[in-house]
Amino acid sequence: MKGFTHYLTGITAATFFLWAVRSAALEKSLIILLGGFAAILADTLDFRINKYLYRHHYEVDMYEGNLDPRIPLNALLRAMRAAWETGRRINIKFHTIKLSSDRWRQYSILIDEETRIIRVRIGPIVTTGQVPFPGTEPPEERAVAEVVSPYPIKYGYDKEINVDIFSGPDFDIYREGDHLIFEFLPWHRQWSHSITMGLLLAPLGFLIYGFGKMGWVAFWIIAVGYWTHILTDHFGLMGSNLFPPFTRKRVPGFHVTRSMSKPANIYTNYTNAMLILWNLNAFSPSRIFTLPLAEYAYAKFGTFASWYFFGLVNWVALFILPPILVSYALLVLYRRWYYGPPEVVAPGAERVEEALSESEEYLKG
Amino acid sequence: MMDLNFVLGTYLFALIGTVAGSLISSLPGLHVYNVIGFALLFYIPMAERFPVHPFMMTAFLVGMLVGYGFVFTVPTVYLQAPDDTLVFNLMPGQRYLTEGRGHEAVVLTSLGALLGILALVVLAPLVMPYLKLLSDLLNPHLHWIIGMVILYILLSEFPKDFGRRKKISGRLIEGWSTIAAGYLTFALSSVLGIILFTKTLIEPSRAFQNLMPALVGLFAAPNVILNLISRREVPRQVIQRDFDADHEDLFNGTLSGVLGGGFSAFIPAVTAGIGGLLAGHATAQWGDRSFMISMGASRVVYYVGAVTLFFMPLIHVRRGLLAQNIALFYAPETHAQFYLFLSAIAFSAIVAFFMTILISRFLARRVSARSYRIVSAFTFAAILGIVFGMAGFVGLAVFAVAAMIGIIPVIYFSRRSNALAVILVPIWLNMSGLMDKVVQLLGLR
Repeated sequence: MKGFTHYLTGITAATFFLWAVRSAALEKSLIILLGGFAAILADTLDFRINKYLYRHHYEVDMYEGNLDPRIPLNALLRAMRAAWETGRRINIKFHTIKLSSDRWRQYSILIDEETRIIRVRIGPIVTTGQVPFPGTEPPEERAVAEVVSPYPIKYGYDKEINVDIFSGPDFDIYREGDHLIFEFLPWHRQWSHSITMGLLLAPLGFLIYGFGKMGWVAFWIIAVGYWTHILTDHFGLMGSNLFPPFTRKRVPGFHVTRSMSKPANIYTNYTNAMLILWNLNAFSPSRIFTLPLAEYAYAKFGTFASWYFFGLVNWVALFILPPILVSYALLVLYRRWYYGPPEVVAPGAERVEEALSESEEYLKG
Repeated sequence: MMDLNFVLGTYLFALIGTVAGSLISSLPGLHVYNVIGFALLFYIPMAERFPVHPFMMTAFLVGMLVGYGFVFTVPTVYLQAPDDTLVFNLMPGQRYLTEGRGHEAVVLTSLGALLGILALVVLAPLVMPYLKLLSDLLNPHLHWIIGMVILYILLSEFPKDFGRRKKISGRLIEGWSTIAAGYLTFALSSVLGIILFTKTLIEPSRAFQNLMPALVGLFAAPNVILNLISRREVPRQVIQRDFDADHEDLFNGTLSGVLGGGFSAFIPAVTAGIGGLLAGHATAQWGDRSFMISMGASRVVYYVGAVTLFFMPLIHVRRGLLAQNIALFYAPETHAQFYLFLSAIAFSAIVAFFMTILISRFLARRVSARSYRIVSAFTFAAILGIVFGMAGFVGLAVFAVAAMIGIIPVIYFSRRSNALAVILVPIWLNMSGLMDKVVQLLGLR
């Protein structure tokens, strides 16, 4: 999901805590913000810190004066050989080529799992919006270098990756049996995207609010806010490493949606906004509105919990689900009418798009 | 029943206001609120004896605002001198300008504004019954909602580095330089905002222009200064009739623009730029065209939506400077007035759209005819003249300080949204009840 969606989901989670909403309304407390803070923290840790801690064994750093497709190709081959011969994880980083504040030289790396072909192509100059300037490519004979990999490859991502704007991609390469495995952005969605990390960070709540009631509320807001990030990411493809140090690999996502999906982000944020409104009303010292099912439940059971729960069901059934379902149905019909049946996209392409889109989102701002 | 003369008079004043607002908005650095402030300084004392009905005066002012909402895109794109709401349009606008497509950038943003007004006019009567409820529900929580916007600005900027240094510490320092520059901009803008909100640096006789020099310095000046020293040249501008925007760009841009503008109009301190940006993130917006359309929509929905809230019967929420000023001499009462107001907005928007195209064509032909440094020098002189004329020598001093802060993100490629702290932080501190403590801490009292 987009960073803002994570953030708002964390805020939403915080509004489920009665005392957080009450203290916000009555004492001008800012405790609800802890949910948003915790929810965006996982990506903050990765993109602000973790990427710098990761060791690159090989770095490809070309500039406009030494453009040569053999440079990245040879570096990649050396990294592959090192991984094959040593059996260790070897990381290779491809730096971008910045020409000015809004101009970049693009190059691409193609890795074909089936034919084992590895090809580097120096591309055109592009804008930060990745719009190419036609005619800026070098001549074909100086633009392309190609080799057949001496090792069997398990790649699993989009065949061709562009290196163009901001920070370039990096891979971990390691040997597994008689294959070399490529792992894209290996520092992303590891320890930072885990249930464990949420638990480790939650005691910050005690630091801010002490060991009293509000300290415990803050503790759970941070933990739950953090976990909402892991959960929403899991609806995508890439998944996360859930319980480090007990687990070491990413658990694949549920494959329900993609992080850059418009409908997924819009519907999640709409649901968030509506849940926030419900919670602010329900937990406020003086309620602004009520709903028939909530009133019925209160008359029958006489507890606030029953009022809240049945009211929430009523709220979801009336104001959250119908707009989402109707608009989604219209969207599907429109797409089929306008574009025809959906194309099948290789899962590897989707995974790489998810990872790249996340990193580019934060960089572009 | 309203008589026809009253309705036609309202349209006439809206038309005059729109044309006046459009012409004023062609100047870089001049916010229409400043002009309206001066106009009201003369009008309010004699409002009762003035031969024009207050509603028509209101139509005139709103026409000016609509004109500003549309036409200020022109100096933003061609002269690179935005205000706080168009600052995010600067990058794509600059890109289009250097590709000779400045007019296209203006038209796309204006198209977004037109669609934003259309959405506002259609949606305002529909959402009116729920807005009072929403207002009552959110009022006790505004402090943390504004805090939420501030926190997101601070947390969502990530390093734009390349991590080339060998040592981890070196890479961290390299990467964090953009973030640190962003935080520095945020901190300095906050302090500037707190000073301006708590001290009357510019005398009230200058029509309450306290914030104007700071906003011009933070947002309009930095790129003009950079253009002056960077020898940037602008190619010949192409004035095409067809534009490369499909219906999805229009729909997506308008959707996020209306959401962002609506949020900004409703929540104090949040302006259209940051509102549009948040809505863009919330709706997973992608691409320059959609972005520019959304910024156009967000801007007009923010400005005009805030006044619309004031005209809504039973609600009368006073958001934005214009609504607060109109409230000094006029109180809308009936549904008929509300609908006449909406139709006047729609009329003004159509006029403003074509004014924008005309002014854009006029400037497009001239901006590349001479050195861009000379154009930038004229722009900078105009900005200085306006600041001095509006706020005097003290205003120039505030402008200089703000410009120095505003240039930090330009140099370090950090986000300019950090400079919005000049408005967000003081209002947030006030709403959170923390202002007195901070003012004491800063030794301002």
